[in-house]
Amino acid sequence: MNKEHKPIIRVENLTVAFGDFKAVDGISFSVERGEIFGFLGANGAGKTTTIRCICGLLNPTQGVVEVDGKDVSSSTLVLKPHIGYMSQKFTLYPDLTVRENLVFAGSLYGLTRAQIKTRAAELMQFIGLTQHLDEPVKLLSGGVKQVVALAATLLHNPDLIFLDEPTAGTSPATRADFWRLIRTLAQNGKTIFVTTHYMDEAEYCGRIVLMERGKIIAAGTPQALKKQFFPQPPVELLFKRPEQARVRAELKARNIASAQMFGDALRAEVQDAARFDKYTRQNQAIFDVHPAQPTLEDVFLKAVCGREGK
Amino acid sequence: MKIRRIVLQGFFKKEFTQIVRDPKMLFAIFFIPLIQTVMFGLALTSEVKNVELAVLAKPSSRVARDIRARAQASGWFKVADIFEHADPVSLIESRRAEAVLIAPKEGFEKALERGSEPVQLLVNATNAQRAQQVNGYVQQIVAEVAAQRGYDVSSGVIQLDERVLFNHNLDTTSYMIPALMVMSTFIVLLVVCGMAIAKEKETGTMEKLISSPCTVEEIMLGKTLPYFVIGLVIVGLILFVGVAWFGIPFRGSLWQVGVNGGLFALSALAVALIISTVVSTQQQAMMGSMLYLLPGILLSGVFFPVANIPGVFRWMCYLNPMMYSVANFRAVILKGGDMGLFWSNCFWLTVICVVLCTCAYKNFKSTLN
Repeated sequence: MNKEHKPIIRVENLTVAFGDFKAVDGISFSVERGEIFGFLGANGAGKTTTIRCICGLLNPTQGVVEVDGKDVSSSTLVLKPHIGYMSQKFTLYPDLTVRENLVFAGSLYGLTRAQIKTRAAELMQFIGLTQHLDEPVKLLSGGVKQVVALAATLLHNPDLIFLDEPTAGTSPATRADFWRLIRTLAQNGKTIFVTTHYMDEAEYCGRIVLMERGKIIAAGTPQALKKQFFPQPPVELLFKRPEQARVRAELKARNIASAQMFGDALRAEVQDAARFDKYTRQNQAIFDVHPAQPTLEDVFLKAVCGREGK
Repeated sequence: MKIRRIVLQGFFKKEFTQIVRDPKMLFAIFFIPLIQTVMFGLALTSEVKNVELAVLAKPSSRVARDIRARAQASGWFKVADIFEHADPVSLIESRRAEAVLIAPKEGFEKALERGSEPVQLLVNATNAQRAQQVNGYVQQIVAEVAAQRGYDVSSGVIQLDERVLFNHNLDTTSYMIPALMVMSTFIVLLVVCGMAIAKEKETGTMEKLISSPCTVEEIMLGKTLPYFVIGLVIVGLILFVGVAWFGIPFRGSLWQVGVNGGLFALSALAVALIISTVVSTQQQAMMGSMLYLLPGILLSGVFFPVANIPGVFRWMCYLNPMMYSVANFRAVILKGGDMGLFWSNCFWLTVICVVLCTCAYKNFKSTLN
């Protein structure tokens, strides 16, 4: 792929309709080379449909989808060798071994046996699974299966990698491993387009887009999004006496702040700073106030609530 | 149209590994056609056998004894006994005999000399078809005995002139096995290949195939060519069992079997592809195959001669690729070289294949839309 300074993916006014239902409703965004681009949203928000359009698996009802400056629907076969797509569905053959799966995946991209062998050895080293090479995939644990699926996606050394909920249903340890791999890939100059509904994972992304019912409701770097939705950072109230429920109700009733339980603590978004300070001073014996960082989860909740409030 | 060898090789290796690793699949592909062949070869025969014949005559009658000997030698009769005094009706009622041949009062010899004396034959006709055949057997035996003994029976009741060509014993096995080569193979290919494609859709692996730079042609060929090879192997297997075990004649040549086998295997796989384009699960693919197979087999001439099928349905026979291939295998194997018939059947098979493959190709999508 050419390395000009142009976005690697450009989506403009993309709409995908299945009958009357619009799975994706007029979205626009672009992805730069070498970034980890996070695509966030609940199930059914339209993430997978968007990916399928960019990979050329689905034809858009309306709009422009370009990869590397080329229109996807008219030059699918030229683009596909440069794209790696790890589907949300499990796309390995359970009755074949890891090696057999990789060989077949490689042959789909026209790789020779020798090429596949070298590449598989490299990848197995990379993902750290050399010992599983001759085991049938159905005997592997869920996390290992996902990592093998990633290896099959990387076999043809694509520049643009789509990972559709790669960590869904795996253990926290596997998720951490997986993200270590993703970051390494990005450092090697690959562009990673990843969907997830784990908001903590989104913190690893360079830029994110939040989707809700087929529309983009927020976009930007994690920091920018936090700033945008929380111009005033929230505070955390740490309690010395267990009176969280009373405090929360009072803050709400007097329109001083909206607060949510957060473990033992309350996380509050201050609406009226002066009165909040006063209230804090009055209740010094009950709780201390500490500044807190908003999470992307908070951003997402606020973005969704904001829309629903409209 | 781009077809890369490396991709097809990949598919071949994958499909065969998956089949070999699944005992159920192996069973379905090779064992079921074999069982069908053995069943049709040994047990399911429409031939009338094991008839019990009684002859009412003087035990000293030479003709009666000849008839008994011939009947026993023919292989159609289980027993053939001569009774001097017995009630023919009660012989049949007590089920000691299925057919009773009654000599005239003065004996067979006198009657045959005169040439026109009626000889009575009682047959248990609770099964009309069977009775007709028994009737035919007895007439034939009596005629042979008379001819052998030098009696002129040309003007009498006992007058038979029947010649059976190509299948001298009217042996159902020889007739059924060529048809089975089509029927069994067609069933296996339709079900197994249809399910193999549906499985890719059902489990999501189809998405992997479509997201790769494989062309539609490569995916279609990759998913069908391995089964094409399997189809030809099954055809060969049934032919081998037929010839080696059941001793059916093989009068044609192997290349004819190959051409006909290849054409109908192609048609079966095209039908499987078409079914797989409209279904999304293996269960639906199975249902789809059954919907095609039932009328497909009934209107193929395997069991019921096409000439006996009434007008509307006969037209459907002519659209059925199985019909042409069954006719071709029967002709090639039992009859040998009627090239005109062979090529005309092949021609229509090819036309049907082209239509089916075009439909499959048009419907097979390279996107998920």
